Amino acid sequence: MNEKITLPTLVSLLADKTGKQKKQCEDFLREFFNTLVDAMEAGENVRIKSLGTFKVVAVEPRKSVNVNTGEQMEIPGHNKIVFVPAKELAEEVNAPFAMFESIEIPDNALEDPLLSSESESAAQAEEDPLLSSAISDPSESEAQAEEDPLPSSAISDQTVSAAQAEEGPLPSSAISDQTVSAAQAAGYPEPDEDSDENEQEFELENESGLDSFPIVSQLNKEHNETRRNYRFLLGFACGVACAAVICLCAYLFFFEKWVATVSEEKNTEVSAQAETSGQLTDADVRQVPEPDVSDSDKKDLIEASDADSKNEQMAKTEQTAEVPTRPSDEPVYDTITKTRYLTTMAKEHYGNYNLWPYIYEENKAILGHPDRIRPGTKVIVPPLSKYGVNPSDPDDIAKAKKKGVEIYARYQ
Amino acid sequence: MDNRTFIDKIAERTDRSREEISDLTESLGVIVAEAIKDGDIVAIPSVGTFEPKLRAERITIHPSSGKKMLIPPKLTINFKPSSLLKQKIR
Repeated sequence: MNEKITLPTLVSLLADKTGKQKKQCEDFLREFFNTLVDAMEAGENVRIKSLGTFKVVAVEPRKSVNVNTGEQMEIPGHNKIVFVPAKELAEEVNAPFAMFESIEIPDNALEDPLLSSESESAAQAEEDPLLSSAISDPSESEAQAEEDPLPSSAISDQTVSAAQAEEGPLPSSAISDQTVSAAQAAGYPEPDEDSDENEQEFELENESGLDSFPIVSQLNKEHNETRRNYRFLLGFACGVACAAVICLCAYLFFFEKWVATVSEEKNTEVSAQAETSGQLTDADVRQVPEPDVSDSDKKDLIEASDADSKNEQMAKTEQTAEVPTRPSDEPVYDTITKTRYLTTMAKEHYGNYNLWPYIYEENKAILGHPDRIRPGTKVIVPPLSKYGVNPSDPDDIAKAKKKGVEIYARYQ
Repeated sequence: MDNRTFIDKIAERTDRSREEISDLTESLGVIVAEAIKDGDIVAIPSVGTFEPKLRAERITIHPSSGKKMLIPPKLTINFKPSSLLKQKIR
């Protein structure tokens, strides 16, 4: 391995193989190569069945620039030798890699299970910051939930393409880098000055690079795998942690609320419990399964007292029984908290959460993205008469909804 | 010059039979293949060196179907002519 076989070694090898005298073999080899060189010198192509074809190829004269001086110069036309190994020889040499075959890479690499799992975990990891920001962010609403899938899917696409681009060449480029550097470090025993050589012969590939190839590729594979696992675990852990925090917050908040309600009115306790459980699921899933609409009387009582009722209340209950707790003619100040959003205020002050855009419009100078308002922000709740809005008019509600969409559109 | 002419020429030069030369050439090919398979370099003075070379895997686009293909790594034989030979054929 990694030895340099010279002519004497070759002679003894050939003598061992054929059982002939060393002298004869030496004569043969000398004449063999002399004939080869003579033929090539005469410009002939030589085909040797067991080795391959030696071709003499003419190189056209071409212009070049001296890198050091910047001078234009012409490289004169000359001949060069191209060696094409015989098929059997090439196959025998390539035996260690013979099991590999060309693989067609599908355009949508998502179908590859490995790739897709990676991209999913990546998407999850990317989603987590959003989730955590949503926790710290008081003004999260349905729109947040609707928004989430969009960026994440975009991210997953991106990661897939990136992964696709990286997938193949990554190990090999690392290897080739290494081999090239190894070759450079080792240097070539016979450095050639001829510039034409570069065309035909590539950099000497050191045997050490060759040896280390399988190991390197294995290492790379292992590295990739562990990284993939690590990323997946990280994403999973983040997701679980976020869910736990959300649940805890929701539990603490509603438990507190529930205790307060119990102390206030004992007779509404049962329905309040139902409410809390309903709200809990709301907080988790951010969807709207209203537990029971049948005993709306009791529930309305709670909703009136419940300052932090969620924005997913049904419009029906609101319209029939929701009573604004304050007169809506004078401006009122309110503070955004973790559990108190523009929609919460709109519901409390106007009787309909859909009217939140008017609060937003009044305070748009201090507010940014409606889903990213900092807790503790003080906002003015304007009287609805200022905008000429009647909370019980379905047209006005529709207008407010449109307005909300417009506000979101500003931040697209 | 094809294989037959080449062997004839050597036989003529060495005063030996064509069969013998043909056998020797065959054996030479096997020896070179084995040496290169083991990662050795076969260096013949004033002719050049035969050495193994690793071609890295790469992604190409199939010219006719336009599909992306991952070409596997490959070991090939590289012949590097000596500067003397290069001077001669110039």
